[in-house]
Amino acid sequence: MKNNCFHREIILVLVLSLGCLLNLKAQQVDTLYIDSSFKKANLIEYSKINGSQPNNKYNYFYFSFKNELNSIDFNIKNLNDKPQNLLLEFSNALIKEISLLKFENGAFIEQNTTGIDYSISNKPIKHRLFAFKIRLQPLETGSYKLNLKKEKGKPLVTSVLIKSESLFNSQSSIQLILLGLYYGISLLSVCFSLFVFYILRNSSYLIYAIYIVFLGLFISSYTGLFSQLFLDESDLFNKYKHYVLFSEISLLLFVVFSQKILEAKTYMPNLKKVIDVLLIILISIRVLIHFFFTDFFEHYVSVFMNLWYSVFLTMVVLITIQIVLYFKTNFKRSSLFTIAYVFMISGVCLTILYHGYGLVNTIFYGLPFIFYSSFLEILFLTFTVILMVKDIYDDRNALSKKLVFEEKKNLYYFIKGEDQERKRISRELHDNIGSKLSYLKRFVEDNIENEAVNDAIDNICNDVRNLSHEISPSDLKLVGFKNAVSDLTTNLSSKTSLNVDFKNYQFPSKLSENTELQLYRVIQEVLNNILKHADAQHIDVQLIGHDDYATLTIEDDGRGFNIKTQEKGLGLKNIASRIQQIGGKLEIDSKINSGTSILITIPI
Amino acid sequence: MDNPPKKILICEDHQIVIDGLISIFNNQPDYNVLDFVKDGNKVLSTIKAKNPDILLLDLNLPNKNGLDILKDIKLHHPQIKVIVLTMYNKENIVKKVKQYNGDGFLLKNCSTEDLLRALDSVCESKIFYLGKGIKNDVVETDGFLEKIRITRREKEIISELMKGNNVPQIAKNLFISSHTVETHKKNIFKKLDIHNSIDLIKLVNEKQLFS
Repeated sequence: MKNNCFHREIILVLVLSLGCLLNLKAQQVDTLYIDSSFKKANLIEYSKINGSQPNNKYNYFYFSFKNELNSIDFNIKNLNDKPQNLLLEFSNALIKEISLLKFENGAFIEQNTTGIDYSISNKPIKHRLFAFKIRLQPLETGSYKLNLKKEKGKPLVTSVLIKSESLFNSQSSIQLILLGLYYGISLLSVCFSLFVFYILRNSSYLIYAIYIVFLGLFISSYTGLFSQLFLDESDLFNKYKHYVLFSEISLLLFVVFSQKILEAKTYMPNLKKVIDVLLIILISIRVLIHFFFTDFFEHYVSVFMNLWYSVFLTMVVLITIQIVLYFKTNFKRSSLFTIAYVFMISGVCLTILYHGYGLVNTIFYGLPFIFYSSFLEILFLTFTVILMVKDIYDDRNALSKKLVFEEKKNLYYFIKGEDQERKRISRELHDNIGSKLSYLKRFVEDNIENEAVNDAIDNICNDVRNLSHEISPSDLKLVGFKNAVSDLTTNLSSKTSLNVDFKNYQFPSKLSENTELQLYRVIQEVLNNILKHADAQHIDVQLIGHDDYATLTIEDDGRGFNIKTQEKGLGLKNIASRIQQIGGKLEIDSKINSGTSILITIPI
Repeated sequence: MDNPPKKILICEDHQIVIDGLISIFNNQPDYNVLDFVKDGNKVLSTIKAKNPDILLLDLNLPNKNGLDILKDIKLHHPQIKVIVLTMYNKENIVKKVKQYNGDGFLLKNCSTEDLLRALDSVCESKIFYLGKGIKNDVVETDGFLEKIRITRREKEIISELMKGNNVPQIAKNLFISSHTVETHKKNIFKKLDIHNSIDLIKLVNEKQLFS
């Protein structure tokens, strides 16, 4: 059997090529022979179209703008001694009316009639595309006729395949998996862009989400899924019209979204205006043709469709120019968008060439090229959107980094200014007011000789001196850092109920003046904080010198705090900034109800 | 009076103090105020020009620290008597003035009597004159004479070390960073003058550090 079949094919090829060479007019159409190994065949090779031989060089049927009713005749012979079940599948899901007739008892008898003007229940089998069952008895030769009715004035393109039942089933399920994958990715992209829209409140992402939804609807109506799933028994809505509507809305959304992505409003406002006008022209032509002036346009469909195609092409060129211009602004986004755009445009252009002029075949593995191209388009557009979001977050991060840096810088200058001002006031108190008080005291002593006034002035002298010292340790170099810290702790112990214990273990004496001043102010600040917030009884302040670094430890037995949840107050930021300024390291370790330990390490 | 009056140079940046001092010395035949200097940097040059016997020196002069001025004077003009006249009543400053061979230490709010006594004293003897009411019991806080005090956090770390735990384990147990533990550990070793955990265990057992 197989050998027979092989021979038959060789002979067929020879005859065909010979026919082509000699330009034979009397080309005989072959009968389709079916044996047990039969998988599929393209009907056009075995058919007569409208009663004459096909001179179609493509492997699909193309009926141009003019004629309305078309018929296809073919013969099939079953070589088997078993009955054969075959399926006749149309790749075009939007044919107005299809009838299958069989030659029986000297006349063609109608088997089934279906089409988009009929309800789904009229479909011979449940399938997204139109398909007919053909059953052949053992060794039977069947003569069939297909009558195709197309929309008035529009061309019709479809390939018709005859498949064995098993191949039909396996191919259908593979196609359904591919479609499922497409809608899975679409759904993810929609969810993602809606989420981004919710977070960022930028209409681009909402437009993108709606675009994917309508693109999905368009693909579903083009592949026949939509009418199978949603338009079950409804006759109210023409199934060809929803296809047109979805494609127009998708186109509109795509163009709007592309203008957003390319920031056309900012960078190329004039081009955007032209594109907007072209878009309105495109959509009005299509909507008018299909929804309002159907009868009038029917006579001039080819004219209007050609007009539509040329306007569309102009718009494609303009958007391409926009992309090229946008490369300068954002290379990465532009590149990704270009890839998506190329897929979209190639899908649409091939589909136009196929449906409008029958020039190229766009059906691969049972699904149209535009299905694959829009799949890849969505993939790359989603990448583009992800990149857009990343750009925004990068910008925000850079901004917040800058803010943190600015804040640190401001704090640094704030502290520096505060220190300078404190130093000035302290000096003023100590030197100027102190000196004047001394003079006053001596004057009172020598001239008035009043013990009480004298003591009062002495008291004021002491207060001024202490206050001056508290405000700023301007005399650290004179007094010595360790002595100053010792005085500070002693003072705190004597003034409050706190027990402050200061110890010094070989703390270096040769630290710079600034380091000593900052450390002193840190100790002051920490002790102040403990006094204000910690509710402590005992504080340890320890200075310890090592070979190449020194440490300052301040521990209290107060109520402690949670480092992770406690907001950094100005005091703590102040301390951190001072430590950073002298190149030290600050470690705070505190737990609720078990005190706080502050460990500062500074290089020597 | 057999001796000529002693020549005094006032190093002080507050006019009111200068005026007060001058008015005191106007009534004193033994002392004569040569001049006053307000800028720390000009003290030495004025000394060269005027050649005073006694210097009344404020420690807080603009541009140059009083202690540094004292050091320089005693280096180049050891014969000049220097009495420090300051607002600071601090033991260690007194100590430093002594160390740099100053001759006396007075508070600015001292009485006229105290001031004149100080001048007389430094002119007649080499004994350091300390004004009334000045603290002089210097407490040395440095070194290991000091009683060792272990803080609460350090005690926690010692007891962890005694259990034989290493730094990462201790950090985990005490919920602090390894670096913090390491620093505390080094501080403990430094304080106790030991070098490893074995010494620590010995020391704790011998001296019963926690008892």
